[in-house]
Formats: sequence, C-alpha cells, structure tokens
Amino acid sequence: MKSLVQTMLALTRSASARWLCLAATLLAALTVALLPAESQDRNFAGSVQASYLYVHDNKLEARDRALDGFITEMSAKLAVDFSDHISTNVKICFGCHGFELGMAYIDLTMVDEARFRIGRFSPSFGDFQLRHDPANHRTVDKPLPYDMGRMVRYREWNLGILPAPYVDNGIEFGGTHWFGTSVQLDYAAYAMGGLRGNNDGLDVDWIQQRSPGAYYLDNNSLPSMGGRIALTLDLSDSDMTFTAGASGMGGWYDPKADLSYMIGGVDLYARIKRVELRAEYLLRRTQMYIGEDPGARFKYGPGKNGKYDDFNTKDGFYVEAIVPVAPRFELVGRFDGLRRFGNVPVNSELRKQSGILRYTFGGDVSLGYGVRIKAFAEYYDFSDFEDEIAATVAVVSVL
Amino acid sequence: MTNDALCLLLASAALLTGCTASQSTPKPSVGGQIGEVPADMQSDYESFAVNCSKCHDIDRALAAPVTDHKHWDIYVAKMMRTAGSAIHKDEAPHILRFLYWYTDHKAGRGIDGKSKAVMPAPRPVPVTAPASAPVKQEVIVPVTPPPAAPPPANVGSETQGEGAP
Repeated sequence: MKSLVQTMLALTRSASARWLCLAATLLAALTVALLPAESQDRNFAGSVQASYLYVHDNKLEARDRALDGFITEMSAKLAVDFSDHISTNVKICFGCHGFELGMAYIDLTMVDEARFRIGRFSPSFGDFQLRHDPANHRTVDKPLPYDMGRMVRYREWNLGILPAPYVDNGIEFGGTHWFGTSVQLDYAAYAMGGLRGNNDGLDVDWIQQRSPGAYYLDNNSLPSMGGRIALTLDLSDSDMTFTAGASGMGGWYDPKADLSYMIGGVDLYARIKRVELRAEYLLRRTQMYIGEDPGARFKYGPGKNGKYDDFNTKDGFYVEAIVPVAPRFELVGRFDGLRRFGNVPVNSELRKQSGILRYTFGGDVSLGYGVRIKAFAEYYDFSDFEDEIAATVAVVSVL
Repeated sequence: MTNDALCLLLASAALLTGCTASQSTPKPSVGGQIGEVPADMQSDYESFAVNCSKCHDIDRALAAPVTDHKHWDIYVAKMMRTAGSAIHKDEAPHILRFLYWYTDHKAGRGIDGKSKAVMPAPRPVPVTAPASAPVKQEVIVPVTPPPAAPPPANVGSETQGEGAP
C-alpha cells in the first residue's frame, strides 16, 4: 500500500506530469477547432435551500461547536450549448462563504467514450459529488466524509475528508461506454490544481481551498492527479439498478510541494424498485510537517522507534436509504461516521484515535412546482466529546 | 448514547424497516403541476422518474421553463453521458416521450380539451448513434384542462446532479 502511494505521488511529481497537462490542454483546444459551434442555446437553472440547524443545548453555547441557526445556500447556473459536442457552464454559488464560482468550464464531447472538460469544476470523485447541490440530495446536510461545515465539532475535526463540492481548476478526460443495454462503464482521469495548505501544514487548509483571494491560482507548481471508474448494471426487467465505483486522487498541498496527500474511495448504489440505497467509504492520508521541534508541535511523543510519524489518516463512511412511502413523501435514514488516526496538534482536543458516529432520520415532502421540505433529527456519538442531538429543517426550491 | 436517543433511533429504524417492507411503487404523479399522468404515458413517466431521480429531484425537470423539445434532446443526451446514469439509448426515447408530452401539456399546446393532439416522435439521441427503442408516433393527450401557457421563453432546465453549491 505504501509503495503504491509513493509510486502514484512520484508520477505527479515528475516533469512528465506537467507536460501531460500541457498536452491535454492543447488537445482540448484542437478539439474545439474540429468541433465547430452550430448554434447557441442558453439555459438557466438554479436552486435555493433555506435551512435551520438546531443543536440541543440549554446553555446556549452550541455556537462554540457548530454553525447552528439559519443558512441559505443559493446557486444560479447558465449553460450554453453550441452543439451536441460543445457546451459551457458557469455557476455562481452563495452560501456560508459568500459568493463563489462553482463552475466555469467547457465540455468537449467527441463521442460518448471521449470527453474533455476544462476549466473550473468538480472532478469526478465518488458518488456524492454529483449530488452535492442541496436540491439534489435528500438530507439537509452532507454525509460526514463530505461535510463542509454543517457538522457539530467541525473545527475540531477540520471538516470531512473531501468537503463537497470540491471545486478546482484543471482538465478531465472521461467517457461512458455501454456494453449491451444493461452494463454502463464510466471512467475519468484528471489533473487539477489540488488541495492546499501551508508549508508547515499539519492538514489541508480548507479556507485556502475555497478562498478567491488568490484568484483560484494553484499554490504550487505540481498538479494533483486522480480518476474514477464506475460500473453500472441496469436490470430494467427486474426494476433494479446497481452501481459500483472506485475513485482516487493524490498530490501535494503545500507551496513547496513537499507535503503529500492521497484520497481513495469506493461507492455503491442500489435501486430496488423505488427504494434507493447508497454507501461510500473514503480514506485520506495526509503528510504532516514535523519541523525541528516536533515536541512543541504535537500532542503525543514519538513512536517506539523514536521518530514522529509524519502523516495522519482520516477515513469515513455513510450508508443511506431513501424509501418513498407516498408519491410526494420519502423517508430517509442515514448512518455515517468519521475516524482519525495519528498525532494531533498540541492544542487539539482530539486524541491519537478519534471517531464520530452519526445517526440521521427524517423525511422530505415534495410540494410540486420544484418546492421540497426536508426535516431530520440527528444524533452524534463522539469518542472525545459529549454526544449531541441536533435537528435540521429546510425548504428547497429549484429555479 | 443516552437511552432516550437510543429509543428514538430504534423506533426510527423500525419505522423505516416497516415502510420498506410494505413499500410499493408509488402511483405516478407529476408533483403539483398537472395531476395524474395519463395511462398511456405511465410507463414513460416511470422511466423518467426512476432514471432522473437517481441524481436529482425530478422537480428540477418538471419545474424547468422549457418550451422547446430540442432542449430535452440535448439534455437527455447529456444525462446519458453522466456517470452511473444507467440511461441507455433504448431508454432515452421513453424519457423524451414523457418530457415532450409534459412540455406540451404544461404549455397548453395541441390540446383543445376534446380532440386528439399529435406529438412528434423524439428525435434521435445525438452524439454517437440514434435511439432505437420503439416509440409511438402519435399520442392522445388527455383532456385535463391545462394550466395557463407560460410566456414563450427560450430557456432550458437544470441539466444534472452537479447543479449547485
């Protein structure tokens, strides 16, 4: 496993990785010239989720550990199709971080099996990234591996494993191929700017990741690379669909490109008649800067070999069931969790091994006309803190 | 975990399990927009609902201010290329057939409350190959009074699950 990680990181570090990015961009540009525009078809879409997070706390101190209260997430997207082969998408989002550019990319589709996407977008990773829009996932908040700040104790945990949406600049090659009428193979490989952090980092800095202060410029000279492959089995006669996918990405998150990260994930989806089941597992291995005086930086001492481990590991999962019980009403149950292994900063409240389990149950009602109401209860089972009870309610509207 | 919370979770799990066991396919309906789907359109609606809801709420499509069939051709083709969509070329015409009907019905086009309205067959799905599923050439639109026609705007819909924040 360790050698595989080192091999993959070595690939991203080589000069050929940068040449590959240059060549892919050139190829995409040439594709534009070969697939001329035929017309200009504009489409506008968007969504709004107005939600409230309640964290049960009689002392009114919940704000110390969660962003409870009202939150509105909005997005507006303009898509322009120039032909069946070329389209552009630009999306503006407004949420906890103010206005952000969620999409600005060009899609070049030569055939179903060969497509380039270039610009600013969410690269193919996992199953949830595709449904990160609050109007597209049934729960009010995101699963813990993809949490971007709605979880209780988000500061202590530094969010999830890959907060969604993970938006970055880069290029992706992907495609879809059908084998017969029942088997669909999807694949994607990409080079992106990658996650960001400091030269003396102990973890990824998610504020840098989404901050437009640096005009979304990459913070180092090396690309991060990744990919995804998924196989879908569509058994229409039995009214069932199954998808299994695997994703991975890796790169360097500090400006000097000395500190590495690797993320891997597997996902499963099953639809049996109208019941949907989803499950994902993610793992991130993040290198930490040891420094000249690690005793002053870390909470725990060196290992038996007298050395400090220079990485931490974070993994997490979710299992979700969506059960329609009426034409406009669905029950949703979710069980998710996070774990962290490895040394922690000296001031951290986490231990060398920490975990969360969360139980979420509720439902959503469609009122028609693109309006939906969601209501959920959540129970957090922390290894290092008091357990918590929370509730989330939201109204969602699609534009 | 406190006993109260444990009881709450166990009750929730039991309720969910019970609902799963007794769950049957919901009666087709199109949100609050147009009421029940006509009988000859129900299998197409099922195809639309099952496939599209995998990545996003079907209201995204139903609430979209689409007035032109061509938009659906483009977007269903896009969705077919979405990873894990499970929308095969043979299935796309059924989805398109419902969306054509729905778009016309919503706009009040081709419906006089008494006579038959003719709907064109879906266009071939672009990019790689034309669709080959058997598609009815003519459809009788039910006599349900349509809502007021929206203004003729040349705008489209949300395209896929990668829609927002």
